[in-house]
Amino acid sequence: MRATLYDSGSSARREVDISLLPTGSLQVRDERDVRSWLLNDLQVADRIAGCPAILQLPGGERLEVPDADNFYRQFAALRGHGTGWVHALEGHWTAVLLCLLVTVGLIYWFVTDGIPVAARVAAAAMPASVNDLIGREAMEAMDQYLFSPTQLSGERQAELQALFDDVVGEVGGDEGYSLQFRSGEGIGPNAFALPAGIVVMTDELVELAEEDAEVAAVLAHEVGHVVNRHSMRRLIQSSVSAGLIVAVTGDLGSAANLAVGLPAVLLNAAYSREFEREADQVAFSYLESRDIDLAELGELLVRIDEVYGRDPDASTLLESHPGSRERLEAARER
Amino acid sequence: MNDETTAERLPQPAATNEALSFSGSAGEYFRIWIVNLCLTIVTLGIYSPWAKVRRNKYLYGHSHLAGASFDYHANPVAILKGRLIAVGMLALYLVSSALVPVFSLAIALLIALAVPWLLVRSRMFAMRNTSYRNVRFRFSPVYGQAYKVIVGYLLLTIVTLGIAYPWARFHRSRLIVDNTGYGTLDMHLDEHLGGGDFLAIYMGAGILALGVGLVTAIGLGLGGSFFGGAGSPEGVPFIGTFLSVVFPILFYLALYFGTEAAIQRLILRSTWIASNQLQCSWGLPGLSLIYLSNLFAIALSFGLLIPWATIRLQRYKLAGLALTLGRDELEAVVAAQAEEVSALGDEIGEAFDYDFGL
Repeated sequence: MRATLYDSGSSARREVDISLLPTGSLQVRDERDVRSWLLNDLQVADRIAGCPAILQLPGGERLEVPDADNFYRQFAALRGHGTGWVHALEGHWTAVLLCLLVTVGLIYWFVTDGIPVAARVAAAAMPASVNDLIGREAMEAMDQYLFSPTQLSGERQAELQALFDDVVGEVGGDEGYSLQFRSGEGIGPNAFALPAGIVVMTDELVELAEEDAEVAAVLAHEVGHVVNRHSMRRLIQSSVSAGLIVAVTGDLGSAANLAVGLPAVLLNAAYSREFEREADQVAFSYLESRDIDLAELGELLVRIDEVYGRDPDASTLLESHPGSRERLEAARER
Repeated sequence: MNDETTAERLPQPAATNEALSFSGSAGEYFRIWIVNLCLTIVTLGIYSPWAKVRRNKYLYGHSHLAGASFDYHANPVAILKGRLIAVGMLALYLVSSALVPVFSLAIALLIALAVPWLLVRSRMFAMRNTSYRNVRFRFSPVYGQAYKVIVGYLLLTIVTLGIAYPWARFHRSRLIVDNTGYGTLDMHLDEHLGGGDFLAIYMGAGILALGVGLVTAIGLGLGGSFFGGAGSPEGVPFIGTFLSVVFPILFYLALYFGTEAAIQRLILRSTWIASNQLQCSWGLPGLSLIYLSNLFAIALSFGLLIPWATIRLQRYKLAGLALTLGRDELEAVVAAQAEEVSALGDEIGEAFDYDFGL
């Protein structure tokens, strides 16, 4: 076989003839001399499609054999084993197809089941002190930038606190809770839950509600976020899915980050909608236990949509919440 | 440098150009990519360094110059060690940014302070593991210089409200190229290149951005008043959306890629390997179109077209490169002594998404 021999320690090269001998050695011949090595002393690189066979000789010389097919066949016959099972996989279309199916299937499973289940387990195992710390930090930050003190009367606050205690008693599990009233001029009618069981409700939301059953429905929904530890699960899921995306796209360079950003955004929005549906289910069980019409939750949601100028039918891939209409439907189906 | 200038004055035979070329195919690379990705996922990421080495071996092995190809020699175990440490730091950063923001700030600051060191280590690792004709490339451990150039010009850029950025970029490129070598041949950037050349490119891009922005805004204003009112025909909202949203996004993305390509082309054109000069004939519209279409192909195929995009970009880039041979023949380059480098800098840089390119 013809081959190119690259010197050790310089870029000089020359053409040589090589043979693999049945005695288990490699013979290299040029016009000057004939040398041979035991195959055991050589480093034969794993085969790469379309590239010559590459051998590193003990003295640091490099041998490139253009007829890779022929070389690897003879080499495998002498050594009794091939050169690289990975290359063998890459060479068979059936194996490639199988890898494609396994990869797509596993990623789909990770995304739909694996990551959410792992996050649920991890979030449940997280010590309460961690939750408290995150919750307090978040509340302080929001008080600084978003909220001002509530304008609700002490009497009204006491009424709503009683309502909240009733919700917590029914569907709150063994988490610790506190209800916080804030005035949020900038953000409008809203309520949300923080990891430590802190449920924040804006004055604007209380004013928008036509009856207390609507407020109770929203409070039960937020308690649903706390009971299911959604904040912690969101944190874990977005970190792990970001890691998965990096693993898939690998060494792409910064330009590709833009392309990779879109799936990440879609994935996190999908996870978020799933959390909202879970929290809605908790709200529905509370409303059922108090014989309140399940539609109370949806009605307030539709009115919030009106304030923000949102379309209650909107349920797009980018939305963090399912459409209000869809959530109403879910209530009817129960 | 003195003997080089005298050598250039001597009568020389007509310069020969050696073109670079790429022989990889999307089909072959797809098979390597998917098999190694599958192994990476099945092993929960442990295999990923071997996958990286295999992909790089394919890409380097199919890159040719003067009848010989490049090779990639990184040790997967070294990459694995670097990755484990990098992932550990990233996890620490993510967890602490949720729990103790102050602590994560400290980590971010620490990493930011380490950027020049990381750049040098990353470059040393990459060069040490690249070979051509059995001779390795190398990068000198110029930590002090890296801190001076990167920190100094960062401060200057901040103080001048960004005006000094072209010079910062230029000096970073000079740091990288001037400290790279192939065997005993030193690489350097052309003496005539300066920050002003970088400024010209950024100015051109800025003028283009402003001009198109202005034209779009005026066009939209006119279109708005023309089509405004209740009686708008059906197709108009679509055209309006295209003009006001889609077109600017496409244009500014293409402009970003084009500017980046122009900078890289300028650097490559001014790069000497001892007395051999690189030539770069990339067409900027063509290259930015490839970047742009790759972006959409990758996003819309959920990543499955990554191999195709990689191969197509590599083929275009290498087809536009050539080396004008001087008196230092590639036939007789002597290898330089070099020590193995750990992959830590390379992998930490990757984990925290630092761009260590030219």
